[in-house]
Amino acid sequence: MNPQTPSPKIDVERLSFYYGQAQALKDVSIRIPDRQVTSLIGPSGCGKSTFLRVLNRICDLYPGHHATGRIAIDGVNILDLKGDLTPLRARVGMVFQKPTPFPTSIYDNIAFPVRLRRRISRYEMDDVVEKALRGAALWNEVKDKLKRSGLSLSGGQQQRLCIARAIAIEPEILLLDEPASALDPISTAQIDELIWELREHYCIVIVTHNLQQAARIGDSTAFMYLGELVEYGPTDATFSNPREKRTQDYITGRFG
Amino acid sequence: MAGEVRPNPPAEGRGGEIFPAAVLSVPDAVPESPEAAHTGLAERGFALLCRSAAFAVAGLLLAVFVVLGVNAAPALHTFGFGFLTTEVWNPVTERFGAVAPIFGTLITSAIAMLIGLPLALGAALFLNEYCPHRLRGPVIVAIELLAAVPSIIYGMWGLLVLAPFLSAHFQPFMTAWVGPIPILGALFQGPPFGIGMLTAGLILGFMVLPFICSVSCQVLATVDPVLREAAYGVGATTWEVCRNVLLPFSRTGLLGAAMLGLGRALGETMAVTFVIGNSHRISASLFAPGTTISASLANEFTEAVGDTYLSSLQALGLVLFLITFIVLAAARLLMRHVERRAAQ
Repeated sequence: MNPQTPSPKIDVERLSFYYGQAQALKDVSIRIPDRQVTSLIGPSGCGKSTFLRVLNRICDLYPGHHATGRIAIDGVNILDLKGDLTPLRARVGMVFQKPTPFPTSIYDNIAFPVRLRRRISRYEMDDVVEKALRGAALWNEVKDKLKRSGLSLSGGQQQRLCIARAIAIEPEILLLDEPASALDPISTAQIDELIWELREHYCIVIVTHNLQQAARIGDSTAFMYLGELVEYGPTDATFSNPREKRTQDYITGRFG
Repeated sequence: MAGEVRPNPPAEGRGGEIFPAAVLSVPDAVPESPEAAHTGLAERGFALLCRSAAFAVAGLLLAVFVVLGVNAAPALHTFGFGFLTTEVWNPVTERFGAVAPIFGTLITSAIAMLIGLPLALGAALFLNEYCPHRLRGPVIVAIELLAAVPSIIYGMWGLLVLAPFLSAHFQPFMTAWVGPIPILGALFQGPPFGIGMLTAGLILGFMVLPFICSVSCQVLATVDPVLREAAYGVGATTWEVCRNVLLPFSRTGLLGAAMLGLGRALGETMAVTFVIGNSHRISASLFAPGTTISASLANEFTEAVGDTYLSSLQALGLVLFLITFIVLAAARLLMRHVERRAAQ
């Protein structure tokens, strides 16, 4: 299962994941290329979000969750990492379904993760914040109110703030878990456009329920069902000519 | 439907097109059935019950205030505003002033918060973020049990265990090492009795700790898990998540927890009476004996002779009532201010 990838950014082999006794991922193997957008689609509960949460090991925050198999990022198996996971999480940024601005100012929302990594002057920090906000296409809307609370923004703006926060620390991989599902169509279009621009710099993995979104922005698309990876290939092929019947059924709306 | 004129279009938001207009207007048109009358009676009865409960609570508060005020009136009439500015408390000459107990109440509560608040917050953060899940339940139960220990037990422990220990080790040490420092040293002068303001403050700190801790735990647990994940997701360590996300996000709730503790510290009687030394005097040294309002009341009420004495004690009660009220009101205002700033 590999589309056009000489050396993948993320190389997952036989990954299984368990919430206590319940198995959420079954023997998933997938090779995700750098500087492309890979969409994960599938019905609710199929393991898409779980898969993302294993990639930066946020799942480790909860007891009883464990993974088997191998996830190599640039050749290093991240499931073997012991102790401090913060460097990994800084390399693998994540944006959630619900906007999650921190309860501080817009400026500090972005400065906070940057300060964790580097000691830089106030002047340099201003640059970093501006660059991140421009990168997330939010700068023009908030440049006059950087001191205001992040919670005062609209839902779509909050989500772009979260993306700005994620890219401010210059990760290599960006995980997006249904980033537009809580947003109105205009905000969704803005997010889509943003993702399209960001793909030049990052390896992007996006979970989405919105098939049009997957078709619009995904270079490759993976279809998951009941914890298994059913089909994975270039987006055009997956949508216009699926190999598996289950994929076809899902895409044509017969279930899910 | 198109082109038809409907006689009685349903009001916006009352069910729209699903029900015909006629059905929606039934309650006005048809007399109440016996069943409906019954429901109406139960509804009205329940509302009445709830309303009287609420009024009873408010009425009780008012009654306490009025009784205290009436009984305190003779003393306040005799001493006037001087009651609040005089340190003398002399039953023999019948001269009474509230400064010493007010001072004691405020200082012991401040010490209690200084000790109890950081410990409680630290424990709450540990339980929420660091503690292995298996350990969490038992520790929380232990903390809640600590809150259930009667205050007299704290008082006895303070008198029989803590005070001798402080007197033998802590107080001589502080007098020797911190004593010579200007200004700060003044807090640690005098003979090491063991009992005094500091001991009372310490005991109070231990007493408010479990309250603040268990409420803080509940407050911290209400932080959206997604927000925590997002903070860890940008590569923050546990300390950074606590400082930058959990604490700011739950600050109003934590302030509430602290106020609950402060309320208890201001009013606590038995444990304080055991260890404070009961002396109506103000001293710069924390080692000196003092008194609080509630300790004075508990100690002297039974032996108060003469109307002025009794009335003065009740005036003290009124002052405590007002202090508590002011503190809680200030906390409310502070909370509202913080919330408004956060929402900006």
